Amino acid sequence: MVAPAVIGFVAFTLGPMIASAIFSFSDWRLAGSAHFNGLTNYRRLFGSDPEFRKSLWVTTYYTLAAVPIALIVAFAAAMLLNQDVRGQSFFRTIFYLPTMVPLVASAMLWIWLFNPDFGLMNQLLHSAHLPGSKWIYDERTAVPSLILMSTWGFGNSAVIFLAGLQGVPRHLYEAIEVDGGGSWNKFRHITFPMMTPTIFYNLVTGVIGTFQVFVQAAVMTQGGPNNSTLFYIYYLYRTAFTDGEMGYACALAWILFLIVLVITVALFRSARGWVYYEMGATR
Amino acid sequence: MYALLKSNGADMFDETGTKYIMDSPEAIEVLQNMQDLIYKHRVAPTPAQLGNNAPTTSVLLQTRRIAMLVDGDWTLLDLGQTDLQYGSGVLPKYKTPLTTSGGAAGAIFKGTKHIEQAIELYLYYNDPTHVDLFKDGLWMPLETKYYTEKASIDIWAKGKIYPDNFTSAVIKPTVDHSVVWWAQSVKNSNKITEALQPGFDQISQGKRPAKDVLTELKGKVQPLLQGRWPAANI
Repeated sequence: MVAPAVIGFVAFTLGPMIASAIFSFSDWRLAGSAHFNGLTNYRRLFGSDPEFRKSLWVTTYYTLAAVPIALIVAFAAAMLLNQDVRGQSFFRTIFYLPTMVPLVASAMLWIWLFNPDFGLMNQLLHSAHLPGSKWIYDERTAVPSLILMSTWGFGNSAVIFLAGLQGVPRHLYEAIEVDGGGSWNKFRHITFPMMTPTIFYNLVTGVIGTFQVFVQAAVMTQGGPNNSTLFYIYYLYRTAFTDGEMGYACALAWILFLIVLVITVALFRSARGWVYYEMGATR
Repeated sequence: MYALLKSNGADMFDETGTKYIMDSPEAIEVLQNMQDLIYKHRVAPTPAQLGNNAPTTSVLLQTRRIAMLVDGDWTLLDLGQTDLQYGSGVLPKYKTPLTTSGGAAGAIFKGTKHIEQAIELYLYYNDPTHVDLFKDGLWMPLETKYYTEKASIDIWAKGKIYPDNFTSAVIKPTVDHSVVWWAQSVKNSNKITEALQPGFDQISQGKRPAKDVLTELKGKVQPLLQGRWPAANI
């Protein structure tokens, strides 16, 4: 019964991974044959590729800002959506909707929102008598603009948070009410600790996801202006399919894989200190 | 931009394609003038006002956000679909009037078993009498006669999408006063473009004077230069 899944994994995931690991030690170009060239690609990566460093920095910057903001917004939204109010399911649908929009379509939409002359963002700022921004068309504001855009798609993590919130046992809240605790104490001592596994899950998937951000750069900015949105995967894509340097792109891919792996392992290590599983130490 | 550089006696790289020369006073003048059109004379749009292809240039014309633009002949395909009334004119010049020409190469592999058929296909799809893409404004023909003989010009550039003065403003300059786009002959042009783009971004954003950027670019572009592809004798 598992044969299709195993075959699929071997043919479309494991196979290409092994192939790319091998090709990362070669000078394979898109139209041409591969020759083994040892560590040349990796030496070039760490030694003489300013764009590699730039793209790594841009991606890290994006991740460091986008993931926490998305977590906070999604958590806050989930807390609101967990309230017993009229139209509860309506609001839940509304907040989830942006997640349903294909990324390319929402990228096109945001290009219009970010238009400095007649985009909705600047219209709103102007109507509040605030100065407008150049958004994705300025080096300094390009990445923050894309972070804003990514926060808009918080629906997915909000739904996971919502599920987590509903799993928090009611009797704990009742106990704290008996002890005279207010809503802050409820959040601080019950909701937050009980939610740490969910937060941890959203954090890990969020970090893995943002390290692979691509569509925004490809559709909206082409990595510009002045390489300010040269995200890692976009740089990898450009290296592979514009410049045709497949071998070098494979090396880039493996370095990213290792970076994400190290960060994920580090997060799991740190989780022992702050994530609370009800069942105690048995994980 | 390339035509303006050449018109001012400048170039991006030397004849061998191994030396970066866009830091010459003539080249700096051209790029600085372009920056000044945006930020000093305020007659050209900033990159933010142009948007990254959204809206497209033909929509910018239609919605009267711009009145003139320098673009490739292929833009006629889009413009021809609109009810916009437009004309064509010659490009600004410095010392000599020039325009840029370039094209995508069609390759026939040396090892093909069907060389005759491949050549036949190649000749067929480059023939305006068979292919509508010429009449529709996307492509320009390859053979000289389509630029010099009236009967042949009429085969492709006669429809209503072509402005009345198209022959004198576009076709004749293409034959008599054109330079070939640098990337057609310089090796490693993808990498070079990627190294140049951040610099051009800074110029068009008005962040730094052209002289600083073009001088600084030398260090980034010079190591990428690998000469030119051998030219065919046509």
